[in-house]
Amino acid sequence: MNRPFSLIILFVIGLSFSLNAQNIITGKITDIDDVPLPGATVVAKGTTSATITDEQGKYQLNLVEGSYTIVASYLGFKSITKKIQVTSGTNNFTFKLEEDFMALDAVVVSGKSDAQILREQAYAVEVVETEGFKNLSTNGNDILAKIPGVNIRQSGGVGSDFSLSLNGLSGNQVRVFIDGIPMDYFGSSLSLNNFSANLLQSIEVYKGVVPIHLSSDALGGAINIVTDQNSDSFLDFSYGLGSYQTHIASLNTQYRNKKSGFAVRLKSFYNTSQNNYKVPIKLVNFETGKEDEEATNVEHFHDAYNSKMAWLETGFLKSSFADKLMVGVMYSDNYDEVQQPANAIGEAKIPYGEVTSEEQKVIGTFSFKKNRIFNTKLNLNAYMVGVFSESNNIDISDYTYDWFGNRELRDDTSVGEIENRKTYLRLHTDNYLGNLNGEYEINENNNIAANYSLNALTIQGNDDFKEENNTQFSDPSDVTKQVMAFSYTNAAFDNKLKNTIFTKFYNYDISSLITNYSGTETEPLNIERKNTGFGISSTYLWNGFQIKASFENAIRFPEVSELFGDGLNIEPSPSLLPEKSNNYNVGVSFNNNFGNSSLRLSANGYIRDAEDFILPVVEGIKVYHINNCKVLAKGVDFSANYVAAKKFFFALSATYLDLRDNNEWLNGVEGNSNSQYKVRVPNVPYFFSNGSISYRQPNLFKNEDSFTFSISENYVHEFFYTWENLGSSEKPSIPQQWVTNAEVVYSMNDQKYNVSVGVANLLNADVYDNYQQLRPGRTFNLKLRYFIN
Amino acid sequence: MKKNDLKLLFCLFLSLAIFSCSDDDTEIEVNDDVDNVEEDETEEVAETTLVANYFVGIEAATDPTIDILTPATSLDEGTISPVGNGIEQPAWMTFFQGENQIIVGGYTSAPEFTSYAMVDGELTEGESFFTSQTVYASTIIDESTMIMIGAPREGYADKNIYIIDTETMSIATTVASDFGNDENNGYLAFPTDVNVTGDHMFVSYYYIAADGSFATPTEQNASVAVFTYPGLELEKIIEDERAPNIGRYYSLTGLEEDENGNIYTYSPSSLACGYAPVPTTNSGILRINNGETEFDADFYIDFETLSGGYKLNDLYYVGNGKAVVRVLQEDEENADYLWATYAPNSSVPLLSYGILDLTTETYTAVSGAPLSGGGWDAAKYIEDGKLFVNISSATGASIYSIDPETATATEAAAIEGNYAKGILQITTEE
Repeated sequence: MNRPFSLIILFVIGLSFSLNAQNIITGKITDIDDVPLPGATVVAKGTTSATITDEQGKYQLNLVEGSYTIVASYLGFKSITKKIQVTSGTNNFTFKLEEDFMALDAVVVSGKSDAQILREQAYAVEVVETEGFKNLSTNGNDILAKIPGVNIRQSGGVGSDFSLSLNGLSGNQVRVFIDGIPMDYFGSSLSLNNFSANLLQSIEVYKGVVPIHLSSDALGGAINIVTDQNSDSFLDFSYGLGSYQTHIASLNTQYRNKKSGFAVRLKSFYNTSQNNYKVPIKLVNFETGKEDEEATNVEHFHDAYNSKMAWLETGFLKSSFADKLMVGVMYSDNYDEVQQPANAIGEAKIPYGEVTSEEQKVIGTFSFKKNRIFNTKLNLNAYMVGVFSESNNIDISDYTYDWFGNRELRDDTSVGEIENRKTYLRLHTDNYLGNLNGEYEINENNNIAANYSLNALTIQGNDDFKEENNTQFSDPSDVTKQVMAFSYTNAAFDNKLKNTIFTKFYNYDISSLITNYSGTETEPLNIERKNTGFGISSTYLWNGFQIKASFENAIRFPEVSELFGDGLNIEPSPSLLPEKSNNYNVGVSFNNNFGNSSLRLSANGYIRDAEDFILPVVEGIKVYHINNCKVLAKGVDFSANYVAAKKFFFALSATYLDLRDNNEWLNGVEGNSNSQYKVRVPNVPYFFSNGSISYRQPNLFKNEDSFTFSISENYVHEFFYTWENLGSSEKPSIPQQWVTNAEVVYSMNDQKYNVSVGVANLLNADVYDNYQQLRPGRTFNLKLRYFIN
Repeated sequence: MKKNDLKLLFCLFLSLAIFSCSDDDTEIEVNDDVDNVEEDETEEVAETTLVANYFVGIEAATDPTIDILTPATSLDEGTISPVGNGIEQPAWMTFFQGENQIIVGGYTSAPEFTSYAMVDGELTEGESFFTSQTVYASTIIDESTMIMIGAPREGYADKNIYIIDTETMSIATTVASDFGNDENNGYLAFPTDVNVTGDHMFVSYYYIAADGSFATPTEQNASVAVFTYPGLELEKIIEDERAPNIGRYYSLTGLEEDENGNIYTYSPSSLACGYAPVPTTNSGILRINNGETEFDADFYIDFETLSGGYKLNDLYYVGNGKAVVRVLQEDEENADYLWATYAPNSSVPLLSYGILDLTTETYTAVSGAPLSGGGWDAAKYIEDGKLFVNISSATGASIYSIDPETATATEAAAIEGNYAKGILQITTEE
């Protein structure tokens, strides 16, 4: 692995410099009660001068004489912009920031929070500040599901497989990052459906056009989960208890020495659930072959899930030589029982009783960030990650199970539950990821950036039973992806108009083999692909309105699970090619604050014109992947957020998606017309909406307490899971779904002690996601959280 | 239940004055042996017609794959389209022609079989049943009985012989049998077809490695398990070294019966039909005569020699001693040919057709049809001595009718979709 080492050298060079400082203007940043705000940001607009306040809320900034626009901001407070005149000598300016309340259950913005600054970038980006979610029994998926254009489909209870779609592109086409690092390399033990809200600071959703610092291949956009970047010492512990024996705990703590910046940080969680919810099934008597007339409520008896993660980092935060220099080690594992084939239609007649998958990962992380390195206009940001994982996919039961959990020894114990051969696939994966990002401010209106990312993966394994897997994985398969990207940003008309153009050079290299069902034949497979992508994004600000337009010619390479399968239901498809899409976005938003109230409206339209789509093909209960020509998606989404008197929060979003098969000819043969041409792609929800109302009462019983009640409603319009134009009668569909959730939170001592009680699916509606497999009905959650800063 | 309803409908229809059939329907002159009793009761009826209602099981789309049981006004012309037409199937299905019903089976949440019949002039879904084992061979015995053979694909678990009551669509009897396995050498006997003549049931099979690799490592003589019927006692295994393994994976046509109750078997002996290595014995045909439980020692066709190098992929007995055969040529050393006839939309289709006269033992290639990609079980339907088949490849799919007398194929109705998986017919009276 040569490339990771070259990255280390770059880091070391970057570290061997330090920064000097002078002071010309000084001052203090406080809240309205004159309480100092340490760690607040002070920026002189149009210059390279910026700093953060110390523990007394004091700052100092070096500026030559002249007039400046100073922006003071702090997370959770409204920013202040002030024109000042700097004269020779000491200038003193104090800023009093007003608290910017966070909406509890809605995406609400007032003032200019960090989130809004990001939103005002030219990219089509939605940002959710997750502060308000920390007291709730939610995970990353629950939060994302409230964003217009986002739809999440989950196959069962806690920890079950899910598919996220963003503006019509879904699954692996949308990249998910944790602090800029592609999340899929953390494996199934760390994903959006188990990521505790307590570890989150915000979630950024880039629709269709992905900035170069998230340098990876993404077809339909990217989601970046920003974990808590708090640079103070704190302790945040929470414990949640829910239906179906669900326990979710999270411990998140940090110590930082304010003088040296030395810091130790721990992020951890533990999730477990039996997922033993009941489902109605018409049971089959296999003597007669007949199913019962009436359904019986049976319990999922082999659907338990547990995952845990601990990430310990140490290094320096906000010290003189680096804004961030941390090394860390993470351990995570995951155990998932499989109750039934995910791709069967309806609940399986013959459940699985012992099929499981498990995964363990040890991850080393190194990250470095320094703005204005060598006291120049250069910002550097880099990370390197090594992921070492062991995963087992196990189907070795000698028994056949019924829905009551009774088992019977099979006549022949050489076969498994999924198919007629057992599997015990052990995969070992070594994965090195690195990213180096440099940003240089040419002058106040022009900025250039470059980004290099590397992702090198080796996968090897063996199977005690299935020869096909042994042949596929006995020799290591290597996949290397590299992306080099450059961007240029220009601001004009007093920062009202911003344009960014960028280009990305992709290099994809796989060496593996193709084998047959028996594992007796092999054929070497070597694919190398080079692609170039580019994009442009623009935004214009005017009187509370913001207009955005962007375009990217995007590319995505096949994912590990698509290339190599999972040894159980997903078959390897190593010869897949990259998929491509031209993504167009336009959007307009409006922000207004009046007194205690604020309003934000936004509407977006988009087109995704994709080809060589990587599509899963379900055959029986197995899935393999193919490159299937063309899909055209068009869509619109809308959202409105209104906050009244800081007490009432209203949020509404709606998405309509038009996803069509764009292949004129079958099998690519001209003249062989495709009857699905321009027909809506099935099994994708195309109209969905989300609304919520919250009420927040501060100082209910005493000072510094608060009470919040919120209720939300999700709607998904009926959709067909097969092609809607085919057949004429009794076409099966997923019926329209309404789901109501309610939550009550009480916080005391300025959010030191928090209790929340939630009910998901309050009305116990039938909720289906994958085909006709039911999700859990009404579930109750209790969450206790202790936070000390 | 359905049968009584149908009988009632039948009487009702006959006691009414008969309207002429719609233009779309095909008229067949009623035979003399139609129920005389009813005829007496309905003397005012001038003419009774039997109407053939055609249906085609079409794999209509990919991503996701969807099968539609599609009504067709004609097999001969036009386009049979599942767009807005037909009954969507819940999974990847196999279509069986029953006696006045269609049975459709596939893996939904377990192997499931559903009956369709004509009710009030509409194809209507009836009852269903599930099996615990996947079914690889089946035969229709009469209007209320069907036999299915379920089998494991690995190991030596018993194969299940299911006797199905197709009126109630339920399993009447399940008999477990471990026939044919060779545990000493690690081979599992995998069924390719089942047929009943007289008081015997015959099951053809081939050996696959029992280790789950689904490989065919051994050369094996043509083998058939002989059971008593309806007792379903295994009587014996018969073998014949003149030809190798009978039938192919999921062919459903390994044992074809003629008008006289003789059974003809075909042996593919090819990579393209899934046999690797290719058996040294040539692709050929054997016969079990009516009433016998042994191969006819005097009958053997070395098909490869007779045809000048073609191998059998399927055999359909049409009548008058003639069979339509689906055939291929391959390079036995080239692994690309392995399983090559299981690609209905192949861009390099392999299969052509020929007429085999089983009496004179002569072979004639059929003209007029393009090559086709094949598939699992094959769509086939016989009317007026002609065989209707699916011919498909990457360039499209059509039904062709093959005339065994002239050895010509004529393009009939076009298929919209990937290919026709089943060509089916239910006769109704009007």
